Amino acid sequence: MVNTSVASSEQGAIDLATKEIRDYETSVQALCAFVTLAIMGRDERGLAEGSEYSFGRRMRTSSQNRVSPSEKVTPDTVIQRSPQLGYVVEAKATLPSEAYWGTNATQLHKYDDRLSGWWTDDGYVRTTDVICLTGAPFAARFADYVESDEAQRGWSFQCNLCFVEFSYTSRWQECLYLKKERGKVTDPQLAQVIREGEEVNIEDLVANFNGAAFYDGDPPVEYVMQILWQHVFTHRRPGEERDEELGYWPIAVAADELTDYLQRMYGSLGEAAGEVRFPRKKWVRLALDAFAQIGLATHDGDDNFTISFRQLKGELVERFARRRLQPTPKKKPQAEQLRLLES
Amino acid sequence: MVTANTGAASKMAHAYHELIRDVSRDEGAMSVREVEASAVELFEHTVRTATSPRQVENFLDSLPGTPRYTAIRVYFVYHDGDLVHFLLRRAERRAGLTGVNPEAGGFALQRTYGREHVRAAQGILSVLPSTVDHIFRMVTISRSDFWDRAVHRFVRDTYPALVRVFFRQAELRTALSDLQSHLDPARRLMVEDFSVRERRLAEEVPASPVAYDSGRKWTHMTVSEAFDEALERQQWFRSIGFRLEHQRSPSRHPTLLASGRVYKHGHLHVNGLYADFAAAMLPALERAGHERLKLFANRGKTEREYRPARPLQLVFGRPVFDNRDNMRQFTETLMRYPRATKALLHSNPYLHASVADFLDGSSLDVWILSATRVLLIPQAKASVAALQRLTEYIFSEFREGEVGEYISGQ
Repeated sequence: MVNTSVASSEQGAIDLATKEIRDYETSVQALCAFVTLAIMGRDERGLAEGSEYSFGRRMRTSSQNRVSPSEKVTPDTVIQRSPQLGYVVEAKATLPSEAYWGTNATQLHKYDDRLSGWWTDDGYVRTTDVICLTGAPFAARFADYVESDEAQRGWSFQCNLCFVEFSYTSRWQECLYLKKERGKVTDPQLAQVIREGEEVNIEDLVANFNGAAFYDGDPPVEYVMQILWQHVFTHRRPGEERDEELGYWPIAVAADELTDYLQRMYGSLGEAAGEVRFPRKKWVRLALDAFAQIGLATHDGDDNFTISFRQLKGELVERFARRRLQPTPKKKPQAEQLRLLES
Repeated sequence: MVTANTGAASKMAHAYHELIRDVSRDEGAMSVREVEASAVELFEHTVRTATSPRQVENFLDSLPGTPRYTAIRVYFVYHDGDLVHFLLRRAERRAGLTGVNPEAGGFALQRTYGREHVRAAQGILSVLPSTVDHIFRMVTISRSDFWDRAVHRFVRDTYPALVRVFFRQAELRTALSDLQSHLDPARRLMVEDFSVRERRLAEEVPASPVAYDSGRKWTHMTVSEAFDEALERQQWFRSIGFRLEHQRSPSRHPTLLASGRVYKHGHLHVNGLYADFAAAMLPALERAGHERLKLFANRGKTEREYRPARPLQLVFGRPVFDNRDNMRQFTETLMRYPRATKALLHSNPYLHASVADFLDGSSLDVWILSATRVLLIPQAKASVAALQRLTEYIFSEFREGEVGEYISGQ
């Protein structure tokens, strides 16, 4: 007999993981799409000559910052159109809970500043535009909220603030459609493009942004788990023959070393000034803890783990989400296992 | 250049020719089975005694034909390196494979089968060079049981070091057309039968989850006619049976010179006139395989020292993915991909999945973001073998397309 409550909670966990992954990927794509619109050009990257961008760049606020004076901040994306103009971009695919809107609005105020850390000699650009990229269903309401919050706090934005909504369009080609909800940007060309709305081909984003998999926001655990399992552990499987006694291939890993590897593969090693390192070690550590929780790794102390690598049947995201609901399997002491085998 | 040993191979083939003639004159002299055994034995003897692969080829070239149920069988396989050397090392570690004459690429292969009554399929193979780099011909003269029970399994189990080369419909057509052009006007190549996958029409079986019918069809058409008709009917050949005929005059029945079958999964068999096939058809198949393998090289991020991976596209010509059922069918097909782990990250409105080849350690992301193509984004490792296997699987189990470098805006 099927236990319906277990089945429904399992399905709920799978649906949640799937939705979180979808939202995370959408945010990554929206950021890439905005980069494309803001600085598209004709250099070898397909971008404007001399322009720069970075997913998650360490910037510094001024002493006059209303929220965090003289602090380090890390916007989701920083785009420098020219030494005169830069964009600080925050992306939110969904904003379902109004309880967090205050925090999100405060974050925008934090970037309403003469930030330093740009790719210029003195670290400043003349003009900064703050861009809030939001999934279409939330854009208008969130913009309303920020405006009323602004009035309530008695603060007003000094930089241009622009709310840009995005949604999928799908005819022959999957595209992200970006359109201004309200606000303004300095560059008249970009202003016209987002006023009229523009479709950006997702295929090109996937192909041109090196299969961008992460931005500075925290990814869902299952997302990192599948990347590690599929693209790292599978590649590292030692030899053809598994350990017959164990029934799997043990792979020793450490969170630090895995983080470096993922940064090299998908993100940034933070080697240039102002660059942040991402993916972050805490994301990798959370994924390793989750592997240990579902019996696919053992924790060897500190940041060290041994992965119990084997061929997993079925679809991985679903499997990981379902298994994380179940209690941690207790490992039988080896002596007991031997006794069982002998009997 | 004809050497003394080449002459020996030809003599052997000549002796075999005489043997067949004697048998046809007096059927009681030797049973068909004995003649077959002789063909196999002569091949085995040649492989064991030849001093170069060329001598084995000469033997095959001068062989007048093989008796019923036996054939010259050729497998086209990819290996990045010296295949004979690799197989010799493998033979040291694994039972069932023995090097019998490395100079002629000779190996003895044995595989057991059956659960209650264990039997063995055994025979001799010769690894011969092809006309292109990294593709080899594994050749034998045998009955089908050795081929089906031992050679196929061996190729499958030796993945990823050994990968069979697959052929697209257009490539099979080119190869058969090249053979026809090579023949003198009195000889003609006719398609005798084919096994196909045929797309079902939606109105025929609206509720069926199976979108294709499979079957074998008999015919007697020229190569062009057979392929044109298949295109019209949306049929994909799995294999094509053909016959080489000699038409002395329009009023007379053509004489059968040789027959054979070519499979899209990288192998063929013929029962004679190997020299003609080797001169025209085999090189065309090898060129097609080689072009694709070149495309698959140097794709993984680690071998590119973490520079961005170079995406590939599988183009299907028609807008197949504007239909949700096709998208679902593709997803289901991908999720059944054997000997691999799969993760589905996004399935609506577009597809994003990751596939990791369990045997090879390669992995890639699969995206469907347009109506006409699939995008493959190689990850840390993306070997030629793994890309070949996945592409073959998709073309075989979903539908056939064209693989190429990703082109923006196409």
